[in-house]
Amino acid sequence: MADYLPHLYYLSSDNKAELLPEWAYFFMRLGQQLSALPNDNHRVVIGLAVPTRVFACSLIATGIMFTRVGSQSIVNSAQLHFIRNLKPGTPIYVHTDDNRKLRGVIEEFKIVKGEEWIFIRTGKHEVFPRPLSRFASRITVSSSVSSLPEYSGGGYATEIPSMFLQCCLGEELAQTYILDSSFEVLLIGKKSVIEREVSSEFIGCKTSDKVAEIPGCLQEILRVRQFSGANRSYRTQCVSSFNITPEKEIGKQVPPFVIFDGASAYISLGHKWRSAHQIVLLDRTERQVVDAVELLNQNYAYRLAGVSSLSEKIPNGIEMMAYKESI
Amino acid sequence: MTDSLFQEVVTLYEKSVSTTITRHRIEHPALGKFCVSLNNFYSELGDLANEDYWQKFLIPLKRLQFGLCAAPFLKDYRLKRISTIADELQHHLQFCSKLYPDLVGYAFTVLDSLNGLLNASEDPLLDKLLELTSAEQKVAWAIKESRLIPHVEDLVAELNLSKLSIIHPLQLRNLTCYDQLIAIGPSRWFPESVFTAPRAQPN
Repeated sequence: MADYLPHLYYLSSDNKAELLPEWAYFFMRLGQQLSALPNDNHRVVIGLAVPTRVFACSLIATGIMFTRVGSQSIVNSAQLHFIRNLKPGTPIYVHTDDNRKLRGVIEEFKIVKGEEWIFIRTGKHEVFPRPLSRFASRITVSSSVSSLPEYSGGGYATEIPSMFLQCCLGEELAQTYILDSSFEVLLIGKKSVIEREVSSEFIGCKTSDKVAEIPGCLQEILRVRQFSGANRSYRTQCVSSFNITPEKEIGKQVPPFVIFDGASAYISLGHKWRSAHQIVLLDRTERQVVDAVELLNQNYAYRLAGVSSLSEKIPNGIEMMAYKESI
Repeated sequence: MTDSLFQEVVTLYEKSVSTTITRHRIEHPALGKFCVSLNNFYSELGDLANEDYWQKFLIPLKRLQFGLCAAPFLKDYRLKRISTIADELQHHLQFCSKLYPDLVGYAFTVLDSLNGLLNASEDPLLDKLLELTSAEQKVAWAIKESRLIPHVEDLVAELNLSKLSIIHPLQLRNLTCYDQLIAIGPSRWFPESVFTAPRAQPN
């Protein structure tokens, strides 16, 4: 899955479905390569000067997501057997992708579409269904007695993955993907502009029989928390570049990747999340682009080393710098 | 899958790959003579240029000089503006021989070169722009100062160029692309992005 990118299409001006252009795949592959880099006490900073910032940040985040979704852990049979034999009501801890520990109790085990699922209650109205075979490694039994508040038993409607997401990830992975929440990428920029981009239904994925394109939007892959309904699972968060206290909105959790969508975003929040890899998108037409380039060059002077493993050919019209920084 | 925003971005990247920038030099002897005499007069004035008396003389001339270099105008408007300024400055200089006897000759040389512009019937800037502008293509003229745009639009209304847009350089920040973009004036007048993130094929 690490190198996997589905064939994605867009509708050209003459109403033909065409593969996404070279620059769009460049952004996605860049995201993939960045997320595949080892994290050895340093972070990678990538600066990109582009003719327009539109769609660049959402496509890079999509590339990151395609790699991250494939890196879900596989469970060994002993752990699976142990978890399967726990009784409903057993207090457990669930380890999330971002190394948080959620407290919960086992509600029940169920067979869904021929697969065994575990339902974990973590709050009065919160039940997380997870496929047991892929999720058991993240469960540890709590030594203390856990008590959760009584709940009314109202429940919620389970989300079904869209055809587009199933086409991109496969049916099985898409089902898990929409149920799991993890904070993979933070987008910083103008929220309304980013929302317009990720919600725009410009993209399509072809089914294996190659008959028709299934339309969709990048939000289905990115699952930006701020643009989804309440209580929906998420993978990405988005904050405004003018938000001087983003922690109030997204918590103290540090995402693995931060994408600064524009010069002002980097200037105002570039000093935060020191352990996260950074991608800085600089639109050449922006007012503050020169200031942002100066700041990036200043930081470049204190680099640890260059990044040689990003072998992607850079399309014409785009300039890129990449370096490693100590955390 | 029918979102025009993505198509606009695709077009923009296509254009930015194939852009060529061509510099066109325009000869306008009468305007050149006026600019040289104005610059010479500045040199003669030295620190006196900051005095109120000379500021009232120089500012209209500098604005006119910039306007004539930055945009094409209707002939009637252009001549009327030059003659109005010439008349006002002639009146302004009536006591100059008593106040600044050493400078009066230089000041009248500037006015003479300004009057020379009134007698020049040709408009090389407009001629070059019309030569470069195709009626079939989506063309934009980028004008440095937005205050000049209404006057240029008055001119364009009489030219029968329906696909021609008159724009300010800041309008080139959006995704609209043109078949041809003509930036009027020296490149230092325009933001760097007009040339590094082009919104047209040949500039």
